[in-house]
Amino acid sequence: MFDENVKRENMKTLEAYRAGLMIKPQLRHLFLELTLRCNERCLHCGSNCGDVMLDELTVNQYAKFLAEIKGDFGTADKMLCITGGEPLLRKEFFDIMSVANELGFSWGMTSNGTLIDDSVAKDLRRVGMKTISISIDGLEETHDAFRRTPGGWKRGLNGVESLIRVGGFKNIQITTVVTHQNIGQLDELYKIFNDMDIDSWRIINIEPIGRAKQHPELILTNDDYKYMFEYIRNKRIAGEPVTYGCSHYLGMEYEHEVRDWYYICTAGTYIASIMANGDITACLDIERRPEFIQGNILTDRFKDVWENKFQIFRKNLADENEKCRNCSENCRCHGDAYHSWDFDKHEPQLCFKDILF
Amino acid sequence: MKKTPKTILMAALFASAISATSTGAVTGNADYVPSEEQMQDAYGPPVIEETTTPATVTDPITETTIELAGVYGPPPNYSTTTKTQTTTTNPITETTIRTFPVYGPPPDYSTTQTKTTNTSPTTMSNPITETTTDMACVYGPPPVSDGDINDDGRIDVFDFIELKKMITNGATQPIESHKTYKADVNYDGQVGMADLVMLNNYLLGKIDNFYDNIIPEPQPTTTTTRYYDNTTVNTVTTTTQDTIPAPVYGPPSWFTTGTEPKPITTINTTTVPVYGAPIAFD
Repeated sequence: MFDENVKRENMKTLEAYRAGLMIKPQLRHLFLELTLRCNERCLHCGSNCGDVMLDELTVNQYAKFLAEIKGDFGTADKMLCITGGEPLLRKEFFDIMSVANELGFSWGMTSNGTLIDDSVAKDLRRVGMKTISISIDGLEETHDAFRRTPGGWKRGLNGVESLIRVGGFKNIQITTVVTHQNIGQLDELYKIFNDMDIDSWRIINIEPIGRAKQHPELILTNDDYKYMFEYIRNKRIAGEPVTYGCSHYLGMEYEHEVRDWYYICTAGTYIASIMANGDITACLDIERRPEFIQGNILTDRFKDVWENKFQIFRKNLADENEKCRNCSENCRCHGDAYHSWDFDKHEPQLCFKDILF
Repeated sequence: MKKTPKTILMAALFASAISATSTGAVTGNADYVPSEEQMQDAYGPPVIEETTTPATVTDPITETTIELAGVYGPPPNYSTTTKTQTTTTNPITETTIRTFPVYGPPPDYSTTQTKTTNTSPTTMSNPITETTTDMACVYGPPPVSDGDINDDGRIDVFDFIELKKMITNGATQPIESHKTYKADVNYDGQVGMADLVMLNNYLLGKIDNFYDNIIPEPQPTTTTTRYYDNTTVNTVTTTTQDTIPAPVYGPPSWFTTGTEPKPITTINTTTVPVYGAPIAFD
């Protein structure tokens, strides 16, 4: 819809920028996986969360680590992204985030919202939370079945309403993972969310990763993808704060039309993550393989790891696959997102070529 | 859900593109055409509370009437040019050279408003610096950082200098250029004095965001003077713009370029004091 020539020029510029980022990465987003425990059992979980017994980092360990980050990188232009599992299951959650807040870090989090009431919302505001993304994956019955949590939908939406009621947050976002089962519910969901004072609605497709691999019936068909992207675009045409996520190259038709930016996977260049046990990696959605663990904050200084390792993330995945190497779009997609790459077969598990372009 | 000037502007961009497409001006490859039923609830002009013409909408948050301009095109965000910017901390004796990549970062960056309080007008020892960072959604990059004209991830005096150069050199079109798009901080579809004033207010801490503080472009004033030249009546018309605000820190922009800017019209300028060294980068 927008001028494709302008888009091409922009993406050409982005390609050069990305090449520079590979050489000189800039830490901007630091994901902290506070726990792998979760009170839900989502069918599509990429981290296999649940009753996971694992040594979690203590408050003092986080305090030491964050102070080190502040000393090495500063807090300006940096954002902590708190995730899990369900981060609020950590009973030391507010102690940890209080430390982060006092050190001057800006932070946001993801949550299923089920543990948020007015009191928790006030505490979240007190310890400096600015943004939050709550997962609502369909209408009530669909959501509860998908996340295998009876009552989860109501409690999640109550959590959103508590956050809105308490106020003081920069961005309250709802994220919906679209599956073949719930794609027909987008209009109904829109009506519900439109009546709420949220800041944005992020719509993303289910990814063929983690537990979702065991449920192929949930994966979107080609028509489902087209419908989803047209839906998002139409909402944006109407001025609604609806957006697609950061994943996947979408082709000239949809790039910059279903989100405010062009595709770029910044795992390992802008983004680093600390797993629940202190392991250092790039993006938490990327398959958990030993070669992707770059170090551990309990034994390594993060700055050294960030500067001297991470090479496995700072390259073009397209070079590993003959089809991708010969594709005319590889200068824009670079093999597409790291988290959806099949590192055994060396191919993307989801490529929108021949679907969207 | 909250509509903001940004989402309304995005809707206007789409409306313009759709209009251009219908006249054959813009090509696309929309293989998939949603059915009428699928589009029914979503397609169409922005939803607004009051009846307005498509050229103006009322921001439901601030009740500010926003004039929407014509075709914009997508906002390019990136630039690969590495620039060396020469900043003069003291025009007489000191010159500081800063080199930084003017890559347009993906929207996945935050803006930093840094306020430096100078204890002395001529020195910059031990400045008191406060830094705030705009928030981004946890997932996915945030929208383009308006005001970050030089794409260094911060909104600071160097963006002000860049904007001033753009205005005085007339490099304010087309609006599709990522620089001009990010320079249009009052979202009126053009880059001009109002954007400079707003950016200056932002750097001074008088406003903390651009969305809620939209100010209209100041209109030039025209004065006409008639005088007699013995045999003929001559008319001289002078158009003047409002005074270009002095930069918050550092010298006027022509210190960096070495040449005085070419004014678009007659511009009344005020003498700008040299405050000292600009904000230090990492």
